[in-house]
Amino acid sequence: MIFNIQRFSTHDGPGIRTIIFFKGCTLKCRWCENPESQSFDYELSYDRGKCIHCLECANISTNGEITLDNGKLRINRDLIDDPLRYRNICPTGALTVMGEDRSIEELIQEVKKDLPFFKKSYGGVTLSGGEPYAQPPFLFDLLAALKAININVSMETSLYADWKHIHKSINYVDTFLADLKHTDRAKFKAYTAGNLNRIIENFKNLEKENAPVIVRVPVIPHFNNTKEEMAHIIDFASSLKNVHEIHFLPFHALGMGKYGMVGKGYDFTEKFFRDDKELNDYVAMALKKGLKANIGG
Amino acid sequence: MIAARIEEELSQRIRNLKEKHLQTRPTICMDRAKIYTAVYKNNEARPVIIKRAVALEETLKNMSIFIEEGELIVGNHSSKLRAAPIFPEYAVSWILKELDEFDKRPGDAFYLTEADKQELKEICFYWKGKTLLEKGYEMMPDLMREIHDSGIIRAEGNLTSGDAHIAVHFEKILKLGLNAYLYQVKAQRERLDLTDWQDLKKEQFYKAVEIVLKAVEAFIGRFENLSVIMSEVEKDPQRNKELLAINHNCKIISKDPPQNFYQALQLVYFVQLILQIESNGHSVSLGRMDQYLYSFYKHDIDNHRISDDFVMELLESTWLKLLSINKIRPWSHTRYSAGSPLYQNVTIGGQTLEGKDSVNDLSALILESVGRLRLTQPNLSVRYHRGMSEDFMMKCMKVIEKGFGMPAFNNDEIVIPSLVNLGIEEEDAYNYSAIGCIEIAVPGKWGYRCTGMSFLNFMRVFLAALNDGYDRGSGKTFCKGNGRFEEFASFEEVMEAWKKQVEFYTKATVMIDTAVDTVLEENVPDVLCSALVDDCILRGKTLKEGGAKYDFISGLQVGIANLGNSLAAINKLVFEEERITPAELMKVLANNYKDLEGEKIRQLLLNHVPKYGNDDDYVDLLLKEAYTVFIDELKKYHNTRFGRGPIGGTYYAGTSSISANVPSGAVVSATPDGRKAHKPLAEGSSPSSGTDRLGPTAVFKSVSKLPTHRILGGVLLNQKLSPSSIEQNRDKEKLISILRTFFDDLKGWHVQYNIVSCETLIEAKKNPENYGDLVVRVAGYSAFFTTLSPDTQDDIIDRTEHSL
Repeated sequence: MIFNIQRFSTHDGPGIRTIIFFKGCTLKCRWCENPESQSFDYELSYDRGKCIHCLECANISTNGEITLDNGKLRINRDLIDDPLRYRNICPTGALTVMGEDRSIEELIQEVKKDLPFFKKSYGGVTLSGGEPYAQPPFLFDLLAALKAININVSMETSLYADWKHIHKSINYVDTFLADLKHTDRAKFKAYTAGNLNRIIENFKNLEKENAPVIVRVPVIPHFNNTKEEMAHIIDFASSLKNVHEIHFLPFHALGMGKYGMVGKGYDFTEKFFRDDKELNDYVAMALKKGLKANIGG
Repeated sequence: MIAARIEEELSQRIRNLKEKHLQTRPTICMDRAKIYTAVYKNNEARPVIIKRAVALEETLKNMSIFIEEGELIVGNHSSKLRAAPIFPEYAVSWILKELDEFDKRPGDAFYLTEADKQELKEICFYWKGKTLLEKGYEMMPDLMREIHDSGIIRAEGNLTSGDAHIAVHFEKILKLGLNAYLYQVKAQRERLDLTDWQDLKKEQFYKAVEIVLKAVEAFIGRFENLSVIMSEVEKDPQRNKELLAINHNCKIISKDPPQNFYQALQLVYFVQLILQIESNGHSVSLGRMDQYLYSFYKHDIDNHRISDDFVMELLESTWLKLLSINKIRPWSHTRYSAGSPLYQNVTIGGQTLEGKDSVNDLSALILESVGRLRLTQPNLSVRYHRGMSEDFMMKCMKVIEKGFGMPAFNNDEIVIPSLVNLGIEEEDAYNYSAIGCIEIAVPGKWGYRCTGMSFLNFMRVFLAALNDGYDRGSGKTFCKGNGRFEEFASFEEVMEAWKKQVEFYTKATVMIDTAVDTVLEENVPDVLCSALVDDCILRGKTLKEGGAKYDFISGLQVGIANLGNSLAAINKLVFEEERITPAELMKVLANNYKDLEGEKIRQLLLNHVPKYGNDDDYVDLLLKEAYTVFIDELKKYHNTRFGRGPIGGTYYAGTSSISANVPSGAVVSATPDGRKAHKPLAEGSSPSSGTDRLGPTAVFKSVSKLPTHRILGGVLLNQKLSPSSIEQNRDKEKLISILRTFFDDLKGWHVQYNIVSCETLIEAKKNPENYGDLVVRVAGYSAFFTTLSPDTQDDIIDRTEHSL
């Protein structure tokens, strides 16, 4: 299942790219900017600002799934057993179903649309998420189909995945864009639902395979944005023989509004300021370690 | 901050002149109106063409002239800086109506004294009933007059302001010098057989050309005299030297070919200026300036006679002079062309006949000087081709980044083969230039208005197709239809109804053009402009009589994207999904999507139908089909020069409607694409505002599905980007790469970039529904601005302010 296809992406791998976002991720980072990417199921997203209260949705709702309560639409998510009933119902797009089951053929058709732009810019497709490795059969079918038409593939992954899947994909992937969020196990555990050991192992395995990896570091306030923590991250990255490049991705509270829309709470409320100096310092530190570095992808 | 830095790059002289131009309150100059009126009154018996030659002659000899402090390029359009002359012979009714409001306009106000107002009124009273506009209306067949009044077709622009949209043969003028034209006329005149009526007409034309060429010489001579008089009292030795240089330049170029770059540029400007005193038209363009000036530049540089710094200063002086040419238009028109734009196009780049890159050092200097001044004039176009260097493309990006929408690109890869296919000789096709905005012609060899005759309002036509031919705006049925939409059993019937209506109105457009062209030919022949375009002198004909080597024209269509989106909406929601009944749709169109029921349907139309600009064949191919009906019909007709000399004499389609989408939208009720009544239509061939949601590559794909090779009037595409999205070189490189794909592989016609300002972002935050297509660079990646949270939007707005 995917939740979005984005064309004309310019910062997630080389050239002009189309990104396919897989739906579902088990890591559940507290700062996650795409809350709709976490669940492996269909979800309803409701954007109050767009709603004109035409009640098309409430009209097809049985057993009080969606009701009008004091002039406001109320979505009782616990009662919804089949979100797909609401697909394409809402005229304004205030109520949408997150998640699409697209066939490989459909995805390839979509990807092919920008082929001339890929060719000229040495671009291609980036698989992202969610976590692409969390949907192995679908992922391998797609990878095979992409390679069959010679598309350059970047894999954006948390590496919080089963090595055997990653290993199997190596021949299909031109570049791994792998997240390295922290090097401290306890801190990692406090902010995510994952285990850092597994990720570190996968980095080392990829090194053994000499797979081309670009390390990407989300710079998250109160989590990893100190020089000390960043130094550890950079040290680890530069210790890997297959890593020559590192990207520092500045944090944005972009996802904040989206949490409410999919009925989730957002507890990562740390105040932040984008500090270009801080980011430039990290770049300088990485350069010193012999890595090519930049801010953003 | 960038602005401040750029200002610093400019010399003190240029900075002062720029400041002065921008600070000067626009006013009106009475010189031309007074002189033309007097000449017309005193010469009633003389042939029109002689009358007009004498009127221009008298104006050039008697209008006030001046040289501004510090000016290097001289020649004034009217008695005062930024004063707009009046062209009463074209139209006066709007002047009489608006005279007292000129200074109260919220934008583009013009300030004039009570005495001037009185005098202007008297002049207007003389012209009432005699103007081109009134004659044009009288010339239209009755039904056409009614259609024109209804607003479905508008041709007023041609009647109130004349033709223009042309570039004269600057290359030849510089090579031969002005006097050579006089010799040529003399030789032609001697060969006439005056027992023949056609030769008698030619005799009048030649006589008029002689009068005008001598008047141009005299006009330049006046600056020769003025500069020497000024130098005699000038105490500053540096300025004294400059004035003497101006004096010398004028002395040479009033008769002979220029001897150096400075003189060549001055002569180009004089010609450009006088063309805009002769005629009221806009989009008088300069052609391939980097090509015809290059030999002068190269010679001076090779011989160490000029420095690049001085070349820059001269170019900047010229751009300021172009800006000083001002025009007052009716308020109705002004609202949509704020800043009095004159669309004086300069084209650079392109390739040689051998297919080699034509970019030279002068191209780069022109690009840089335009980028440094950041004015509305000239309108700079770059002729792109496959072999254009990455280095020059990057230079273009750096100017685009400054956010004033220049340069625009035209694409040799589609234009040249299309021109050759049309019957243009290869040598000429390779020498095309942009005219005005995106339209193209062979400079010095092509008649007026390669695009820009009448505007056809596609959506009024489409709504009539749904209403059995009934036009709601006028309450009339000009062409009985195939029944009402409610009676149509299938989508094919909608297409059939469209076909019938659009064929009728296309023909009507040509009928109106024919009337307009006829009065233009009979009443306001441009003598100088004709003399400077091949082969008018050889044929003894004005441009309008068929003097040009080539003469293809196009009208303009407004509402192209709306047409496609409306067709897709009807096909999908009414016929395929049956989510809306025909009766429901007609009801909400009539009541402008009233109440919740109307809004619900409107939202369905907006959000549940593929939209043009998203690379979706569903809508793109419907649009192509509907638009092709128009193109096929238009191909059947010819213009008033057909068979009278020029190659062509026919029509092609064109979409460079620029700002007409706003007034054209104001006269259209609600449309099935979800657009509310009176809202703007989509501009050019760009997607409807806010409906292209997949980014620029998808837009390029959609646009390229139009039959571009048959739309030689130009396929206009505007793209918005935020300043931060092309801030870094690697982003510029990516932009260049998608541009190359659009041009090399998809054969796009044109693109121009709107680098969106902070104000726009604030506006976008307030009214997100209009800005769905606005891409901003958030940081490491790009996002659609309206999808961001308000806080992030503020953040970006703040950052944008910093970066500007």
